[in-house]
Formats: sequence, C-alpha cells, structure tokens
Amino acid sequence: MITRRRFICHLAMAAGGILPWVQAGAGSPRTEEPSSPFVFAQVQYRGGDWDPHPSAPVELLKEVDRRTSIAVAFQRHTLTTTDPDLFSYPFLYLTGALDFTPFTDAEIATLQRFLGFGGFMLVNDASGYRGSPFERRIREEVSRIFPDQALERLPFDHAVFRSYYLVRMVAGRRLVSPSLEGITIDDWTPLIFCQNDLGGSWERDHLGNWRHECVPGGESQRFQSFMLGVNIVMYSLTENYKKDKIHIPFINRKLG
Amino acid sequence: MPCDPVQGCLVVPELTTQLRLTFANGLPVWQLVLIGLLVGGYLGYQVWYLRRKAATWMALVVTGLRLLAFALIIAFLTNPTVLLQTLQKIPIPLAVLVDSSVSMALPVADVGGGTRLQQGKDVWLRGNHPLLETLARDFDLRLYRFDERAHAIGRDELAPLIADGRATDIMQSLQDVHQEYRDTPLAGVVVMSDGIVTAGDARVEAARQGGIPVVTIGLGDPERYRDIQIAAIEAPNFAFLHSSVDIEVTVKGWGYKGQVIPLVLKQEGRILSTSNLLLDADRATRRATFTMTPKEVGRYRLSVETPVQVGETLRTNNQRDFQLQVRRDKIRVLVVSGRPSWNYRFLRRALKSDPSVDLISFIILRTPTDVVNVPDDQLSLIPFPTNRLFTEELSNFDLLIFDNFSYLLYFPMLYLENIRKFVDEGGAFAMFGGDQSFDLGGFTSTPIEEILPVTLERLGQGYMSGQVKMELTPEGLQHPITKLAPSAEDTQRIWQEMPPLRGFNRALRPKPEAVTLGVAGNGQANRTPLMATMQYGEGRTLAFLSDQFWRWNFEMVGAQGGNHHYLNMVHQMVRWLVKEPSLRPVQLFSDKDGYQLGESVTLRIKVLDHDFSPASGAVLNLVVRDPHGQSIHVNTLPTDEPGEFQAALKAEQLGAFRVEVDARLGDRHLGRDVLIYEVTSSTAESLHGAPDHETLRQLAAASNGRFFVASEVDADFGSVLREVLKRDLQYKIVEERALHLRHTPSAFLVLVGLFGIEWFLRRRAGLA
Repeated sequence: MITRRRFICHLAMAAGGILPWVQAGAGSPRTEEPSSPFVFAQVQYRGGDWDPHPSAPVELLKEVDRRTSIAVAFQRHTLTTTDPDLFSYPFLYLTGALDFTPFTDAEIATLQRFLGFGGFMLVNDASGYRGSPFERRIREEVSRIFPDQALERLPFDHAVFRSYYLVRMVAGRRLVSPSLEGITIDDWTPLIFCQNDLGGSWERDHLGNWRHECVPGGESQRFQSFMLGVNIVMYSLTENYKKDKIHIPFINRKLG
Repeated sequence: MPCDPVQGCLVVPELTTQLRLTFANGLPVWQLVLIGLLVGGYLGYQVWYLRRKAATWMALVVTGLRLLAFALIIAFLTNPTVLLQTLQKIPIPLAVLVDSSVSMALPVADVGGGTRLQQGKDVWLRGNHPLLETLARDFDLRLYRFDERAHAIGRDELAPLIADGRATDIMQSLQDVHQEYRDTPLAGVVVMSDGIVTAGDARVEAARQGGIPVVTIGLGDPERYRDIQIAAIEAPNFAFLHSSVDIEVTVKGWGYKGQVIPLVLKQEGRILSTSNLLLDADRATRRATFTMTPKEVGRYRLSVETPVQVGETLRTNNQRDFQLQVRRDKIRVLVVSGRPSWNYRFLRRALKSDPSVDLISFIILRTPTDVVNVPDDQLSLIPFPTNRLFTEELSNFDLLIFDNFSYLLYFPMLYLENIRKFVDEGGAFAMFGGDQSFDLGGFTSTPIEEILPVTLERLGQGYMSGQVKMELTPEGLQHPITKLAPSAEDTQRIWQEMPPLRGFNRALRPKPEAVTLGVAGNGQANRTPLMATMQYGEGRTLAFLSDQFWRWNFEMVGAQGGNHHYLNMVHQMVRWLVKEPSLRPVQLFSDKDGYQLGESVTLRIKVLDHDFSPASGAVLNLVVRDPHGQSIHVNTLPTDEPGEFQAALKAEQLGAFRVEVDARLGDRHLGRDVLIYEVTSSTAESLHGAPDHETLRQLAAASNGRFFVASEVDADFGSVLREVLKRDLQYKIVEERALHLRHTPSAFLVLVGLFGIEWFLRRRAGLA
C-alpha cells in the first residue's frame, strides 16, 4: 500500500517537481516574506524619455510572481548609472523612444564593469518602429560599452527563449523585429535589446486596462510578450541553466 | 701463487730451448753466383783435365774433395753461427668476467640444486688441474666480477664470490674492461653469465665497437627452468575517482604449459578482484585485464599476485606492486536551489568558472501555486528526479548544496537520512540560508540537523532583514575558506571591506564541535553565527546563514572593481568541504616513495588545528606497520616550522610499510593521515630468473667470438680459445748463446784434412 508521502513523491516526479498541494502540519515551512526578492531596477538616464511605460515593470513582476517561483519585490527601483548602489541591483531595465544624452565615459566604464562581471540589462525600444532615435542612440552607446562586439540576433535555441517557457516568437507592442539582439560574452548574454516595445505590451492604466493595443496579434501577442518577459527575468537569474545537459533531452522532446 | 687484485695472477711461464744456425756475414747473391761460376768452371776444367790422365772415378773423387774444400771456404766467408736459445712463452692477455648479480644465486635447474654462480666457479676451479690454472699458462688472465659494472678481483677471490649485484649490465661491464685496456689491447674477453640483463643497454651490437672477440659461457639451464612471472603491469599513475581504470597484467610462464593460474588484484592486502589465466604455450606471454573503480581519493599500493607453483625457481616475481594515485577528475557538485535568485546565479558562475568542478543543479522554477497559463509542452520544466538523486546517484557527488531549499514539498524525510549517511561516509554538505532554509525549511529534528554545524530551533525567529556585516572569528582568520590573504591582518582588512549582507537566518547556535568562522558583527543579533563548519563522520558540512552571499561578489565589483575574493572563497570552500588532500589538517609526507634496503626513511608531519593554525602543541601517535602487520612506534620531534614534526627510521625490511599518524591537541582529535612507502632490494633481479643464453649467443656472434654452455668447457678450453681468438702461442728469448764455426779449430782441421786427402790421392794416382 502506497503511503501518502510516497504518493506525493511520485506526483512530484511525474509533474516535474510540481505538487498540487502543500503538506500541512508542524513540518510545514513558515510563511515568511521572501528573504531576497528580485528587484526590477530601471535606469534613469538624462535627456529623452526614460520612463515611457511607468506601470509596465510592476505588471511584469506580477506575472513573474504569479507564474514562477521567483520571489519579487513588487515595486520597481529606479536609479542612475552613477548611483552608488548600482551593483546591488544586477538586473537593469533601460527603455525609451527618443534620443537621450550619451553616457559619460565614467558611466560607460561603470556599465562595462557591471555587464562584464555578471550584471544584466534589458534594453527596450518603446518607439514601435525601426530606426528610431532611441535605437540609434542605444546602438551607439552599446558600441561604446562593448567596442569589440556588435549587437547580434539571438537564435531561438538561445537560453533566453527556453529559460521557463518555450518561446517561439519575439512579441511586444509592435512586431518591429522578429528577433532579439544581444551582446554575448562566452556563453552569457549580459545585454538584450528588444525593438518590439515589450514594456508597451505590459502596461496597464490606473483602471487596470491595457494601455496599448498589441499590433498585429492582439491579446495573443500580448500573452507571448509576457511569456518573453518572464523568460528574460528567469534568464537573468539562472543564466544557461536550461542549457545544462540534463535539460536538453526533455526540451528537445517538447520542441519535437 | 701470488695474485695482484688489479694486475691479476702472476704465473711463472714455461721455459724451453732451441738450436738455430745462422750466417752472420751474408754475401750478396751476385757475389755468390760469380763465385759459383768461377768455382764451377774451375772444377769442370779439372774433371776434363784429370780424365785424360786418370780414371774417371778418380777425377770425380779428387774434384769432389776440392769442391768440399771450396764450399767450406765460402761458408767461412759468411760466418756460420750456431745459436742456442732459451725461450719463454708470451701469455695472451685475456679478461674473464664472472656475473655476480643476484640472479646468479638461483639454482642451475631444479630447486635445491647448486647455484648458477657455483656452476661458474666449478668451471674454473674444479678438478686437480683447474681450468683457471691451465689457462694461466697460456693466457695473461685478468679476472673480474660484474653486475652493473666490472670490478677486478684476484684469483683467490673467485671461490668466495657471492651473488649480490643489484642489477646486470653486461655492455657497461664490457666497456669498463675495454676502457682499462685501452693502451694494452686485449686478445679477448670471456663472459660467464646466465645472460639476464636487467640494466643498461641490452643491444649486443655495441659489442662490435671494441673489436675484441667476446667468448660467452652460459650458466643455468634454460630448458629446465620453471617459473611464473608477473612480467609487467600497465596501469596509469593516477586514476579518477568513480571512473573505472583498466590494469593490464602480462604474465610469462616457463614449464607450466596448459596450466590455469589464478591472478589476484589486491589493495594493501585486501582482495579487490580475481581472475584466471590459461598458460597455453610455454615461454610465451599472456595478458589479463582487471577493471577497478576507485572509491576514495588518495594514494594506494596495489599488487597483482599469483600463488607460487610447485617447482618454481623464482618466487619473488609472482607478485608485482604498483601505486595508484586517485584524484578527482572533477569535483562533482549538486546544487539544489529553492528558487531562482542572485545567490544561485553568482554561485553558478563561480562554480562554472572552476574547471575542476562538474556542476549539476536543480532549481525549483515553479511552485504548486504558480499559474503558468500554458500547456505543459510550452514549458521548459523538467521533473525533479528526487528518487534517483537522493537514493541512487547521491554517492556519485562529492558535495551537495541546499541553497534556500525546503525539502518538504519534494521528497520524504527518508531521503534526508540518505544525505546524513552520505556525509557520514565522506560526502560534503552545505546549506545556504534564506526564508526556505534551516528551521524555516523544516529541517528541525531531521537527520539534516544532525549533520549541520548549528542547532536549529523549533520556534526559530526566522529570517532577519537588515544590514549585517560578517566578522571573522579567530578561527575564521586561519580557516582555508575564509582566509583570503596570507596574513591574518590582510584577511581581516579584506573582510572589513566586504559589503554588508542584507538579511540572515538568526537565533541559531553553533554546535560544540562546530568551528564558527564568521559571526554577525553588529545589530541586535550581534555575535550570532553566520558561517560555521563541522566534521561529521568522515564528511564535512558548512552552514552559511544567509542568502546574500552574492553581494560579496557583485557589490565588491562595484566597490573595488573585482570579484576575486568571492571566487577564491567559493574555490576554497568547495575544496575544503570535499577534503582536498592539501587542506587536510594532518598531513604526512615521506622524503621518497620507495627506499632501498638500508636507506634512511624521513617522515614529516604537518599538523593544523581546527581553525587551521599550526598546532605546535599537538601530540602525535605515529605507528609504522611492517609488511607482516607488526607495529613499530616511532618518536616524533618538532621541527623549526610551527606545527611540523619529523620522524626518522631505517628501511631494514623488504616490503610495503604503512605509516599511520594520529594527532590530538588536549582532548581534541585533530585528524589522522596514512602513508605507504615501499622498501625494495634489487627489483629487476628479483623479477627475472630465466637464463637468457640467446643474448649471450648474440653477444658472441656480434663480436666474432663464440658461445659455449658450461658443460662444453673442458680442459682443452685453452686451445679452443686460441682458435677462437686467432692467437698462436708466442715466445720471447730470455737467453742465447752463439758458436761461430770459423773460429773453431775443428773447422780449420776439416779444411786442411780435405786438402790433405786430395793431395794424397793425387800422389797415388800420379797426378800433378
């Protein structure tokens, strides 16, 4: 006769580590606030518009919290690249639609260190069209941070597309580009650039309605956009975990 | 008979006499021809003249007498001399080399019979007229014994010669002799040996270079030799933990054709594996393979053995020892993380950047309450194979890390007992803090609590947020994990510069046997432990009571531009936990791996306290176990280096010696270490016993000499040798007397007599 514990164990294995209920009783974990939550830090730069979608990060964080085991801080944190606490926030989000004031050499040096030693930056072009002033500026700044490397398209077998969901398209508010671009050092991509305005697809107004329509795919496109957002956060925290050998046969089976 | 150790035996050579006729004043040929023509013409005329006046016979007799007289006169002109010579033989220089290596102590054929060396001595010394004396009449004998080199001996040293040479190098020994005779060329060399070459160059072609014939005499009987030899073992010098390694054994048999012999692989006396091998041909090599999987890091003495068979000549080659150093190919680390976090992320980067670490990690990406909104085939999640990991595979890892992970949702407590056993048997375990860890992870009163360095509270005060700086304890300043600079001052400075943590698990006490490395340095939780280690059974554990470890990496990058302290600490933490040999508290070293009989063995012991400071006051118990398991207690003396001790003993017995050292400080046991060293005699000579007459035959052929077996050497060996060496007997004149015939009266009287008879006959015949 199978014991309850054994039954739970079997279920855990069958369901991929997911259990339908939590064991109750004296041995249950205490309900604690997350000890070290993920903080979504947004870069406040000079010039242009650093914050075109103010509520977008929180909406993404809600989804990350709802869908994954990641413990999140539900408030975004804003900071400049000269902030002394910059290295307390390994995840940075930089977005905009307009041109902005170039980073100083000191800021470039800081970002080089930040991204070179394990920090991560998601760059979002909120303009919704190719060749925007923001895109031109960001490409220039990226070339200053990584003078020996250029932004390159990330293939769909990149870990960011399979860090949680098996993502097969790069969604956003607009489908400007079918792919993400990034700077890859060895096997780690510390900077990812999205031209499809991911932030715009995540944003709600104060009544809870979506602030922007997703074109051309509508809500399905928005859904994919959140999946990609969750994957990007997951990638920043787990790196190439999903490229570990043990995952490959499972993922390949699912991808057919 | 007097003998000089260097010059050899002085033998008085035989003397002999002979008579010789010589002509002191030789005449030129043309003069002799001219005289001959004149005398011939004259005598011809005389015969013609006398025949007209007397009978023919009278003419011929008278002319003959005249001829004799003239011949005598002409002979006197050349001064004929009779020489009486006393002659002495010139001895032929000959070097005789007798093999005195250990293999010459083996029986000629059957066990219990005479030795090969004795067989050689008998050839030279047996009988009423020993060959050595016989040869000494014709040869200038120079006697040598040889093993690795040639050494001159006197003739009286041959009989008591013993076979104790550690190796045999025939070519080097020949070179030694050639070198000694570089100014006085030898006529030849006689080498008497069983032909076993165990050192140097065995290529006989080198014998041609001297140009001196080498006559070889083979001792021992190759046809009747019986032996089983573990001829070779091919095994790597080091193997990797948990990875199988093949050990190839080559066996050679003489006289046991068709027999199946058992082979046994042992590790320090303990049987690891056995195998049977068919010797389907005589004098042929056969191979067997053992496969073993090392289970523990260290240096081990292994041996392959086969029992001694009835009638075996050589018993010492039935076992062959070798050493195997077991290393980790990679340190296998299993990280189980309760959720994606920066702590995991930066730990992963550090472990992945260490080429000696093989990292397997599992992160709980999704909890039961999470809503994914997609079918399972759109998720990259995989099953968490708890059963396999914590029942079957756990022993394949060296280090298990629970990173803010609670087991409660994923596997039963039974698996925690498996983890406890894993540590007890030598595995390593670390727990990092967080809201799902320690007491908050449900580990109170579980087998995990038993192995942790801290006591878990049933009603713990949970996780405390807020800045806290870790301060090193005195133990932490010395401990390999937290000692980040050579000096305590620099280590202290580095830790003062480390950024504060922003939360930790509190209200936990270190266990009495734990070593606390770091404590909370400020705030209300002042001095509560943040980092502690403990030895549990054969394994080690670590508790780091925070999930903010990553800040010592990335925030240090922001503050100082680098993360090397973090990487160094992770590197050291892993190695200390898995007990890398260089981080053991008690380390035993010997000055050599192996010793020859009679050599001095020096042992050095380095002892560190639990906090890794030198334990100069430690009390050591050093026991050396001889090959029979008998214990010898050896005193240790402190050296000038703090925490270092030394012991010395003699290698007085053959075999493998196991040294065990146990260190205590007060009532605390600091640790122990084990070392094995081996004492050997002449390894090569004890392995090879089959007479190798073929080598001797080739050596003789290459130098234009000849090979003989011992039974072919008889009393006539001297003439055989001369024939082989192409040397006839030579003499020198030691005395000579000359008799000049023309100075003797008898010669004058003969001449007068001849003329007188001729005159008388002429008168009687009426000739003028």
